[in-house]
Amino acid sequence: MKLAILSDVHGNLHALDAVLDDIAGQGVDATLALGDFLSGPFDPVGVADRMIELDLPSVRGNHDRYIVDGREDDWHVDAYVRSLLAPRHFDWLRSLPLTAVHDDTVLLAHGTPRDDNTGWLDGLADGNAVLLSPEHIEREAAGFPYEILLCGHTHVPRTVKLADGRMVVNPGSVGLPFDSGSPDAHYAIIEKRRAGWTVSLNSVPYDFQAAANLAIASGSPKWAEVVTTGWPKPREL
Amino acid sequence: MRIAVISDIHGNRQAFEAVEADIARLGVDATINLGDLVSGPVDPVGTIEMLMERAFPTIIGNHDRYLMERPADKLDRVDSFVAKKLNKTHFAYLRSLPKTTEIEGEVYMCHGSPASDVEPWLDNWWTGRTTTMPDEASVLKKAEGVEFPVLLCGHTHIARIVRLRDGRLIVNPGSVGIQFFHGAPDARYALLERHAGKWSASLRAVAYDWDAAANLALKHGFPEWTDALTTGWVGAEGLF
Repeated sequence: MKLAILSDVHGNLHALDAVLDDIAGQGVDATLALGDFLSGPFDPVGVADRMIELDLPSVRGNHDRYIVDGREDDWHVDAYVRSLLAPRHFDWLRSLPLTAVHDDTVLLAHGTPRDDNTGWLDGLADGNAVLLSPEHIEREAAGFPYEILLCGHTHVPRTVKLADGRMVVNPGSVGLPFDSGSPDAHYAIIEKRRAGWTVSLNSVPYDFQAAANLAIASGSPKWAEVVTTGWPKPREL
Repeated sequence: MRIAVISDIHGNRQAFEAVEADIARLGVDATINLGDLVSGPVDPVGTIEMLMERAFPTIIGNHDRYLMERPADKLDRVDSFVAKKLNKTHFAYLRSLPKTTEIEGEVYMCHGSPASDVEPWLDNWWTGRTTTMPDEASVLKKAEGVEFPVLLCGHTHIARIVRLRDGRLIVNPGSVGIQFFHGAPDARYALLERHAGKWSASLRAVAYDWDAAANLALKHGFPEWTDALTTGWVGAEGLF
């Protein structure tokens, strides 16, 4: 079994299409998507239409939920995206579950299986992404007996193996590569072989300037800096 | 153009064989190796004999240098074990390898940073038992004057890809043979690909028989390596 995993597109259609092109050449059995599809000042409507058309096995992210439900300290970007969407886009967002299981083998989650706003593998220390403790990672995996546990949310590509051999994989972010040192779009390929699962954390160059121009046009220069350099940290947004 | 980049095998033949099988399945134009070839208690002799036969473009790491430079009583416990196992042919092979090199003006290879085989480049290297991304200025400074489209480094055992604002790609493939504090025992390496003149990279994690490797480390008198080899959660402190 060979699967492509993508997460945290954040409205960046240029990055998403580059990743979908790359996946098309990989010969995968399925592509799975882990949420935070739209929250970004790029082309959220284009991303929503693309995802509705592709109809991939998908879960919702915390920002997908905020766009639908709103929240007290609403992000200006979530409000901006909400103002652009049509009813069909809201229907699609509402249809996304917190978790899903693919082929009885792979669990899809955005943050952790219980909370779309909690990092599973990485936390922040002094503003830097750091690997969380094995105790935290194991605790969040308890009760989910699947060989592969997928998560996104932190934008940090990472693979961790649990004591019983299950694997937690975060593919990084397709559209918003903060704190990564690279503007390239990130996704993952996982493949089951005789000796176990092989993970490939991929990065795909694309026309990030086109995405940055959209961010600048909608009045979000910091987002343009994230997609052109990969260096700003999440708190700077 | 497709190149497999391996580094920091540290004498772990089992891990190297699994990586080699994965590379063979993918098909590459070349495999290149960033050093720290043999310093580990699993199977240093089996590893160096495989490497001599393959004759990949290879540079030495700091541990390879210690094996050649230091008198026996100045070697750490692991390198002392390794030095006793290596014969003259093995040492002659190590002495034949450069500290840095390049491939066709496209790819630059160093072990730590261009300036030093012990300086970490793409990680702050388990300060306080965490590993974090350094800031842009420090990464960029070490790349000054090294004008190749792709810059490769190893040493930290933390796999990362950075693309500088000027387009240069810096890749650390992680370690084939011994995983430090990132939560998985899988062997790591990287794949470089050039499409339409533009380089990109992917980081691969490959399962192998780490229990067999750990049993050899134990048999050779290095029980502290077994947890590190089988979990990937242990830091480098106390291993060498």
